[in-house]
Amino acid sequence: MNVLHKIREGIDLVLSWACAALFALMVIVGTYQIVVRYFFNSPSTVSEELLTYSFTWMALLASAYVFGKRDHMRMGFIADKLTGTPRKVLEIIIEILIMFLAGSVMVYGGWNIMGLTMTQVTASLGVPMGVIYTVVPLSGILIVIYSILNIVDLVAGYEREQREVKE
Amino acid sequence: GMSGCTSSVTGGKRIIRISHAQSETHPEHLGLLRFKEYVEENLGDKYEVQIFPNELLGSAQKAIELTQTGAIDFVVAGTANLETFADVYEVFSMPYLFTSEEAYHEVMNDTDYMNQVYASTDEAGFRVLTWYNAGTRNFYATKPIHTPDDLKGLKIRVQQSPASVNMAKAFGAAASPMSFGEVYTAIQQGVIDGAENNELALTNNKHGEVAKYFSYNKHQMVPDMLIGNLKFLNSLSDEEREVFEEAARLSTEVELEEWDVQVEEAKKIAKDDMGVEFIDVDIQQFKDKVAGVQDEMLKENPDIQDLYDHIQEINAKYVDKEAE
Amino acid sequence: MNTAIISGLIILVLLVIMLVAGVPIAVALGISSVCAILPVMDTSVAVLTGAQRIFSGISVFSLLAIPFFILAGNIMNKGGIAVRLINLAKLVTGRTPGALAQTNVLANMLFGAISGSGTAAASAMGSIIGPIEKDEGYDPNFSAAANIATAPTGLLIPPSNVMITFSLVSGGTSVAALFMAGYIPGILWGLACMLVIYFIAKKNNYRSKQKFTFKEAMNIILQALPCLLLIIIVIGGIIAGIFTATEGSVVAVVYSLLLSLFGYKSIKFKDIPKLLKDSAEMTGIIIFLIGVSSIMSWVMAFTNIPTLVSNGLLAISDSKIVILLMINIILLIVGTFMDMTPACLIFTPIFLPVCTALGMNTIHFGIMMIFNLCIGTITPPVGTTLFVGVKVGNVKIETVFKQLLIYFAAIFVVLMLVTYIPQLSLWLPSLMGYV
Ligand code: NA
Ligand code: NA
Repeated sequence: MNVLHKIREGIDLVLSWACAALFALMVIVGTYQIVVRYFFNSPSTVSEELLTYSFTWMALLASAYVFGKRDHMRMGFIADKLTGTPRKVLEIIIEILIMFLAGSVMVYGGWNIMGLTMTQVTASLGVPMGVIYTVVPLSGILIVIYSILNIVDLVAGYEREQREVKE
Repeated sequence: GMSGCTSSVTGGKRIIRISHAQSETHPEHLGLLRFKEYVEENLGDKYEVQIFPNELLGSAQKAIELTQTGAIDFVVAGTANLETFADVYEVFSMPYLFTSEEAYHEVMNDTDYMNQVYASTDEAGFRVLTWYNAGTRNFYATKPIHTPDDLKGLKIRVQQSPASVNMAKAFGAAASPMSFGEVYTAIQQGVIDGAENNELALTNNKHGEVAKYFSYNKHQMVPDMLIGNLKFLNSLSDEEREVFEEAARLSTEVELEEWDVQVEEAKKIAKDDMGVEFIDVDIQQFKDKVAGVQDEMLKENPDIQDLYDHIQEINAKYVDKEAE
Repeated sequence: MNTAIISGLIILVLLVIMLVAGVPIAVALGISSVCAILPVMDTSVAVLTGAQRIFSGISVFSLLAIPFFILAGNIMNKGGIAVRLINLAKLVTGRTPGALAQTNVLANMLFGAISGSGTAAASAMGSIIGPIEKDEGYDPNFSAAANIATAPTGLLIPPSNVMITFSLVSGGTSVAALFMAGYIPGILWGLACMLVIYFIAKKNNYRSKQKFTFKEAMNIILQALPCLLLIIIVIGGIIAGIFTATEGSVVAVVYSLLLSLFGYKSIKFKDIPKLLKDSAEMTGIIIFLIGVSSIMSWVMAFTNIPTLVSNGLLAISDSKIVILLMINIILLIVGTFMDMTPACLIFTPIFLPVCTALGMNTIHFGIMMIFNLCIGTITPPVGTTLFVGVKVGNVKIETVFKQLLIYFAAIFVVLMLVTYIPQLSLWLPSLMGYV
């Protein structure tokens, strides 16, 4: 158990810092874009693309992080009313559905689109599109890992008692 | 596996899906309607053609990816989108590659020669079937541009590619790459001073409401391409393949005619209803500005040399004709 | 059976079951959409398409306004900028019932007008005013509902990207005319919601109890001046063409950070990572939903579901009044499952010819349709502005939805007015000579 919690904490730590770093980068590049275009009249050729893709990476990694916290938006009118074993079973089924989406679309589908686009380069950065797409299977794998950890916690009853279904 | 056998069959018919980025009145859409008509006339018992305009199934680049996998069967894309699959297509982004419209059309209509070029994306899983005229690109802005000096310091929106940026810089403008959808408000609010495109951008995209000066410096003639999933094309029998190729040829015929008609209409509407001024300029001055760009591109990318030379031969034909 | 019917049924059944069971909305949308194309596509192609749609639904430059305004909001709250702004609002609005919520509406109309984005308005205003409303004793569901219900007004009040989309797909309607036409319907939407707020707030006695002395009032104004400068810089900068609306969100972040760090000294450098992490988390929740929703929009377009639905319903009657009502209902239903831009692209070619044949002006039709699709952005299950408002308001969808119902009723009344009184849309453009 302890090992699994260490793993979760490790992933949490790396992910949250990665998101913070990407976000900080976005603020800096965004400021740079305005300054060079308006004040120096030499518009940046890479900033818009850099911003868009940093944002995509940040958002997808952050969404994986949120799956770990079981904090994605949902409608709780039935789940909220269940308690005990039925609740636990429902939550485990939900984790399996999450794994199903992440595993099929994000990991498998994402891996294939990565392979398909490795030779294609982005318009201004010149980076292979497949490299940029890596974030899809990567966050998919993280979501699957989190789901497994969540299921283990649910089964072992580690889930904090009376934890509300969060929105 | 990832095959072209994504048989979307309804009532026994295989649905052929074509994606493009233009509206339903655009010459390309009208051309594709002819494609649909011809295919269904001849193979209507087997195929139903559905056309998806307005990037409904994704931007050109994304729709190409879906064409590679077979989720979509055909897509119309610019040569800029094809550059990343086969760098021979970079030649089209050269400023003043074609010296006349006649030369441009002759090169593109020379199917025997172009088929070698078209086969260059086979490895990526798709093949170009035919080309569509996308006109001549020119600068338009909120201020009149008569000479390259007038471009100095103007923020001009260009496509998001290094070649476009380099070209605008060579002209002396401040190149501002930006997605096409943001151009109208960006010009209106003064974030940029203008853009570069053909006449239809003034009317179809309403840029004529915010940019009142259109200068005929004619820096590029860039075609659009109809591409198809290669596995699907190869799965066709010889007779069927011939039907699709004839349909493609007919669609180009319709598109070219419509293009000329619509450009004339667009000029009239822009002039009379929107108050856009069309400015004829001394093109040579603009050519001189970018004289080094062609050599630089040839040095950097040897793959375009062959096609470039071929185009120059045909250019020369028409220059000689003019001289006569 | 027609593939559109099969796909439509798969989406509907799977989505409803999963949503009711409490599966995260994004997961329910993703699974039901991908399953809906399985009958017409190889599984490996379908999942690849799904992955590509998630990615391309997210990698959109204009979406950057969402994380930046969320971050700016968090900085303003932590840095005490928000409190100062709200004190000023309280001073100005006095004892009007629901003054803060009314302020939120006005701010949404103004801000949305300038940024042209409902989600940006919802995230900017919700994260700034929401917490203050809570301190004042407002029910968070009430505050969130007011914010959500009025966030889309900025899509009708120009500038507005969806109008540019409509101009294109309708075969060249003047963008300037559409912009003029949007003012009155957009403002009516806002006013209708302000009326609703007035009555709810009066009933619940949401009004400020504070009275300010002259000295206090002067102090509040003085304190708020640097914060007001933020609004002037962001809005002024957009109007002056120094930066685009999307870039304005970056300016909001930088200005509020500098003011909090060096002006008020209310934030220290070591606080910044936590601000970034919290904002990233909120962004992740919202943006993932937006990415997955774009799979559903794509599947709907691919399988021609909207055409099927509209053909069926339009066949019912040939009276003008009934047809317009039908069109509204179709747009409301499909707008519920689909994002604005794809819905606009799909429905314009289907409905515009029907409406012009009935003698409707294209501009009027455009405004009616956009109004309708704006409502779709705040209805579950696919409602990007709704998601943003719920998240920044820190409430639950099902509870805020109950509060939203009365706003929907008010907005629907305005929709009917806009549909059947062409002058509401056409009067301003006709003054400018566009009609
Ligand atoms: Na607006
Ligand atoms: Na909705």
